[in-house]
Amino acid sequence: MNPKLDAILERLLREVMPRSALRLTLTDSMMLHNELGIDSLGLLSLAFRIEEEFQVNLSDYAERLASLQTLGEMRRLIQELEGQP
Amino acid sequence: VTPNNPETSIDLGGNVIDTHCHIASPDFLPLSFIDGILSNMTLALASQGIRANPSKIRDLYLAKLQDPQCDELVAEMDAAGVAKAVLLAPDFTYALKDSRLTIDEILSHHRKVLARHPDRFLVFGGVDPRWGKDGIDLFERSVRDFGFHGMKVYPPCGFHASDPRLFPYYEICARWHIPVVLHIGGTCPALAFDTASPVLLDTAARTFPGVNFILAHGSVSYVEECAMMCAFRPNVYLDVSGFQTAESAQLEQLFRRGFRHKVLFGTDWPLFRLQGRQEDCLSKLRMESGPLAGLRQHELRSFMGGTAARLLAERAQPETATANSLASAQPV
Repeated sequence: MNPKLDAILERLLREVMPRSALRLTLTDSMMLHNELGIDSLGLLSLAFRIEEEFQVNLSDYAERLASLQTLGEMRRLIQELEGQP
Repeated sequence: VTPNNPETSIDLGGNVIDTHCHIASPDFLPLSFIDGILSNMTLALASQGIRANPSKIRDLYLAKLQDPQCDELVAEMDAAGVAKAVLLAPDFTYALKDSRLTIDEILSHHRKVLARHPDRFLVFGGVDPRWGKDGIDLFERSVRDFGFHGMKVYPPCGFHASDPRLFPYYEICARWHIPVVLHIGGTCPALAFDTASPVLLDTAARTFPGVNFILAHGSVSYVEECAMMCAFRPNVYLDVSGFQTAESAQLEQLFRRGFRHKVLFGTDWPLFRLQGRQEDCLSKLRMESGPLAGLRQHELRSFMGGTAARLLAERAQPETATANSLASAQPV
């Protein structure tokens, strides 16, 4: 676990999750769409927030971002963007 | 937010037919169509304070639309428990001039996909009625020689469902006993919305009582008008594709209207891939607390594929078509 990464992850998610999902305890196996309520617009919003946060070119990660299904997949992508193993 | 809990899910059976799918490729969706759809997303992102570069939104959207042979779609159908899917091939080539392929080429490609996955797909071809006799000949060829099972009509391209120029096509559908799917409601901003009302079908539905018409997205757009048409016109049905974008309550209310036997399951896949997987889409329906909870078992079977199988099985060679009836139709 990385507290800094967790904080970034939670902050990004809180912006795109419906308020009804904010009370959930987040785990890596959670589905972004069905369980966290992130729709297609939410996913796009998340992608652009990740681009800004990590100063990367979104188009380079289009396939990965568009294919994100779980919180764990999102965490791994962010770890890569942060240059962490 | 609807957590997927398989312990409380409804068994949908093994004969699920998704009546509303497409081939995922910009070869069949012009960029002007895609960009029109995305322009609304750009506006919504701007409302969140995000200055989204439209070309980057397009990159994300197109990342999930690269499956021209439908191999990925078949894998998704397997995971979702969908036995067969209807591939709809609307003709945008007359209305949107940046189409990469001609309609002839588009239908030919669908024929190849059908041959590649013969047990998984059925194809409904579309031809803009303004192409004249060439278009009519192409459509008839697609039914006779390509083995297509129906017609896809896209009124937002600039004609309504009872436009007399469509009647030669409906005559072919009547001879072959194949259904017609009509897009209903809003779509890409580059196209017209005023031709996409279900009530505009009425003249054609009365003129061609032997043709079954399916109102696409009937649980999402013009729901009251779609319900009226289904309730009172014997040859009008609706599919619920796009239900993912509406509240479940809307679908539940539709099922209380007394024509459950005329409501068809459909997802509009893969256009919603940014919302998750096809199986996620079905898991929302499967939930015991979901919109299907009030259906009886036979109604559930009809909705998930039984009614579609019956409509599709009516297809017959023109010479023998009159000998067929609903009672003798076998599921595909």
